[in-house]
Amino acid sequence: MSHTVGKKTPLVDGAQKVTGRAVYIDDIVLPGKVMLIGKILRSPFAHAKIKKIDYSKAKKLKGVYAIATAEDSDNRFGVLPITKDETAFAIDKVTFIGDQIAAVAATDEETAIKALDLIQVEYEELPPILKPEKSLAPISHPDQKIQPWSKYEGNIFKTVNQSFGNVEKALKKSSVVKNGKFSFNGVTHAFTEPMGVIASYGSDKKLTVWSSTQVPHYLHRALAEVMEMPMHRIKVIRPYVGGGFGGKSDPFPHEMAAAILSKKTGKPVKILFDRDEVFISNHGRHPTKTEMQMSATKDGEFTSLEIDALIDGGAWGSFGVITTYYNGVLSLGPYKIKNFNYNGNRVYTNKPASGAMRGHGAVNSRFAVETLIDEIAEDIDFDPCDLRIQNAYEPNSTTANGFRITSCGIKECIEKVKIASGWDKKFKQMPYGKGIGIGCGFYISGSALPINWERMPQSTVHVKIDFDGGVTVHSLAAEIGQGSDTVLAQCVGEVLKCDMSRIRIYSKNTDTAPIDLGSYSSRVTFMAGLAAKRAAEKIKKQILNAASKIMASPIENLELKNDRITELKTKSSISFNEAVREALHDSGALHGKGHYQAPNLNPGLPRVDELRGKESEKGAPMGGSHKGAAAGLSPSYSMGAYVCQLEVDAETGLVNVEKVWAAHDCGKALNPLAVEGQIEGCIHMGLGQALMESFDYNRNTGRIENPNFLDYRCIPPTMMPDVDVFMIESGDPEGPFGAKEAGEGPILPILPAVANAIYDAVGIRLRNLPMTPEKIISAIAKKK
Amino acid sequence: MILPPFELHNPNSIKEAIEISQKVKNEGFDYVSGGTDLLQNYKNRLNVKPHLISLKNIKETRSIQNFNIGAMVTLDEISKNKTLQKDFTGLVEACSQVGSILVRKTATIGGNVLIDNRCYFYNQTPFWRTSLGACLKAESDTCRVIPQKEYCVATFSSDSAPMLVAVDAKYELEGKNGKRIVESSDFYTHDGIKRNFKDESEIITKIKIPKTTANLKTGYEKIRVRDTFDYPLVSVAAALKIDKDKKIENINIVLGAIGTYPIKNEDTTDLFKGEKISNSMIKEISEKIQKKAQPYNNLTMPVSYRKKMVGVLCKRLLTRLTDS
Ligand SMILES: Cc1cc2nc3c(=O)[nH]c(=O)nc-3n(C[C@H](O)[C@H](O)[C@H](O)COP(=O)(O)OP(=O)(O)OC[C@H]3O[C@@H](n4cnc5c(N)ncnc54)[C@H](O)[C@@H]3O)c2cc1C
Repeated sequence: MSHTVGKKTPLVDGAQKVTGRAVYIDDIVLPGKVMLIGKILRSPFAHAKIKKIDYSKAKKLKGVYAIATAEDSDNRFGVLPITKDETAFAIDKVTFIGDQIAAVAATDEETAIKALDLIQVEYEELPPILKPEKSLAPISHPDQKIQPWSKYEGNIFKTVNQSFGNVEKALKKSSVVKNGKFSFNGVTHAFTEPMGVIASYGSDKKLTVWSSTQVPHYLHRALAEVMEMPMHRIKVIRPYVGGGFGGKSDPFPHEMAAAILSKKTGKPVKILFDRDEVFISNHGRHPTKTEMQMSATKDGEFTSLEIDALIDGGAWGSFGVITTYYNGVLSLGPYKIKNFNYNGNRVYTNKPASGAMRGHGAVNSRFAVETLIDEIAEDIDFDPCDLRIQNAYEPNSTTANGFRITSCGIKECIEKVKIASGWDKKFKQMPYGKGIGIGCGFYISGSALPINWERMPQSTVHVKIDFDGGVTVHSLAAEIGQGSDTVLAQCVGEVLKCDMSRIRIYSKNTDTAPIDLGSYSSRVTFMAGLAAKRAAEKIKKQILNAASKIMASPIENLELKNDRITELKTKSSISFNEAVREALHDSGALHGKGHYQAPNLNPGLPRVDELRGKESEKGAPMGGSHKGAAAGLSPSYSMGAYVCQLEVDAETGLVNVEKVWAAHDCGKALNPLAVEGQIEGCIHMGLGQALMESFDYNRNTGRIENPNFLDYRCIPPTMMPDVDVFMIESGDPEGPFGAKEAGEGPILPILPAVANAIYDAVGIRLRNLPMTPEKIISAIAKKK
Repeated sequence: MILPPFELHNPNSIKEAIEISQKVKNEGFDYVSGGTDLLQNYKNRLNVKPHLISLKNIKETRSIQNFNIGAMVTLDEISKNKTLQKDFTGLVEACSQVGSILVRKTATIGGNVLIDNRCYFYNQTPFWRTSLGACLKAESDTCRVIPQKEYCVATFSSDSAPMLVAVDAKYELEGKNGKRIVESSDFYTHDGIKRNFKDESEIITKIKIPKTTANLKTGYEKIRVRDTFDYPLVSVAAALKIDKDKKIENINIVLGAIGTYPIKNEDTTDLFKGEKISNSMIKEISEKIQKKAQPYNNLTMPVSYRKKMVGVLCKRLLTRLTDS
């Protein structure tokens, strides 16, 4: 019987949050200090040369302490070391509406706003490049290059061409070929807490930065580069974070601005975003145009898949290299598709940068794949659920591009939702307007190859027990509301079999936490969870050794359970504390360190030699040796299947999603309460992108037209359907206690499930997201 | 965005409020009730005044007596009022669809009939407005919807006003020159900036609903993408009097969120007086009204969609009201 794992566990920080005691950026008041407020001057043009910045008037305004511009720092940074294209402030030219030009530190917000109005910037406007198609074309004048350093032609940021098997040959033996042109508008994470930062540069020449971030470690690195300071003189503190979803997983210019202003003034500087600034800075999901073709035999065997993706990156790189790969390779599961061509281009445009967002890189292509599968099923007269099951991978398989699939519960997921939804009695049998549809998903559980190619574990966790018997867990995995603190506590508690109230998580401070790469790429439960488990196991050994001494019995005869250690033969027992005290008598506090590094990558991978050695895991090697083989490579993959039932009002085009049956293979639900929450949250977010969420850009200027929550519409709570969650536990052989991810993958199935259900309801296939009421009624009218 | 600085006044009576208004009129002031409309605009630095006169402490305007609704009654209170539920269903339907439940708990009916007109190019942040230039209604002299227009075409998005106009409700106003009563249907102008014929000093104290409303069938339909939060993309209010032979004695259909004021359709509906209700007649009315409707392209949905929805809503509402 497990001790804590698998039990519905309220989040360890939940009580603090619901009672309003959790301290977020905006709540922080530094004792005894004057805190200045920073505000940012942003470009009103999408593309322009900066001729002159005159801030002399602003500087004279009473209450203004400092103004920073590119004069103060021109060091480049960016989340990926290979594409550092951001600076704290625009240098010589601006590349999107909202680009950061200058920042003011003043006694209060009102004064800072006034000061911004007094800064005069002279621009020379350049024609903005807004259409991604245009960015593919060669440039005829250097001014047209949005990011001059890019090595590709035109305004291309990254091109990926991959080919596995032989599509041409596969098409010959196929009896059905389906294709389509899909387009996806950009969407945002819509987290509750706007980004915010406080920087304090002390007289000790040390810098402390509090930021609402998912990646304290990457922020730490970027600050060191931009501020030209060694990392050991910088401390990053992550307070409570009000949501991230990928939108806080880059180091950002405003974080640099606060640090620069604090250094200039010698005072703490706080910058808190307004919502429109969040929209400008969020690095949302890439607007994408995808052409896709999929083929199958008449017996229902998928034979080939071809994807051509044009991905609108906006003005910066962000995670874009990874996005470009993911749009292709993450379509290679959960179905056996052996012949595959991919051509992906991520381009620069004069719009705010796109980046990582829940389901990063996989959501849009997944929508297209799952729609085409339904069309194939209809053509060859297969049930869409059965067709998917027939093509699904079994455990311990390898995909066409060398992904190593270990645990694999996809068939069980599909069977579960098919039965639970009453599919056989509903599909194609409901009255006009009502429909049911299925969609599946496939996602990584942490990236095997870290962003920084270094011989450093991806996660390290320290566990310490002192005289008080309290267990402190130190990690830099960022709790952003997803429950990472709780899952670490559970992993440690499960090993030590101690009461959960003993365990305290310290995950906020780079000074005291060993490095963890952060909360992105669905890696924390898997990687930090394993590191925590291992750290706890080391301490457990010390405790049992001590107990063995007290009880004069070998370790094999001792059982640790419910805060006590029992001698199995005599049934005599001692308390957890007694054993702990014995253990630390001659040594002081007990300390255990655990870490995680992905299993051996395929020896053919570039630079893999550096990642190998005794530090890495035992698991089987993974990955091919082709260029880009490491992209999407993960120690484990999650998968899922959803069925959605809905009603379409054929006159107004409004869609009422009535119910979702959601099965997700998370290996093992360490905290079923949190897994359920993640799945429901994913459905909420996915429904938004499917039906109403959309960045609207001004066609001529590139301005985001709806940077507020009235015009950018998220699904309100009143429109959330009933959700039945099924956690499929396939038991991952390498994950902690069998677990793999459940935070991002669960968004994938819902979008195509909605589209397929709309087809079942009113017979239309929409290929452009969001599927707004007006698109729905026009498609219905066209069909008639 | 933080609120701009302003001085807040908290008078205890209408009289006192008007007195304050006269003291500060040279500097500029706004009355504020629930603040759910006004303060959002303040945050966006739209037409900010240095003085805010809050009507919150004024008791005289807080109750519903028969068909006289105090201006400070909240939309939530109207939605839950038993008499109105029975005798003026349409108003309850309209008020209970305003914004979200949180908004309705604070929002007042007085504020609702007076809300500022809305436009895509107006209800935006200061930064947004600097990036392309604002509009007639904000800092510029160009209309961004129809560049040649000399007056503002911002949409009047009140949910209650079309319903009130449909039953010929009256507004009671009190200002520096005393009390007066105005017809709701004569109250609004075609100009999205001026909006209505209220004198600056005037406070709406009451919404007066004709007693005969109890004999009408009233209803309200609104299109919005989300079933909460959203302003109407277009809406239809209807008030019908049908005799026992199912003939139309009287009919008023008023469109909301389509122009700068609630749009009446007597030209169309008068033609049908005295006729017997039928599906084909409902279809004909709806088509005629849709054809005439001319939304401006200044909300987040295309004009073509909003125009089409006028017909759909009309048809649905009339069918619903005549079915029972
Ligand atoms: C998220 C959101 C959604 C919304 N959705 C809708 C919607 O769907 N439909 C809709 O109709 N509205 C909507 N609103 C707007 C607003 O909430 C309502 O119209 C509300 O009824 C306004 O009332 P109030 O008391 O808050 O007005 P206030 O904001 O206090 O005032 C509005 C205007 O009327 C003036 N005023 C107020 N009371 C008086 C008075 N007694 N005498 C003279 N002048 C007065 C003010 O000076 C101001 O110009 C929404 C608002 C928000 C924030």
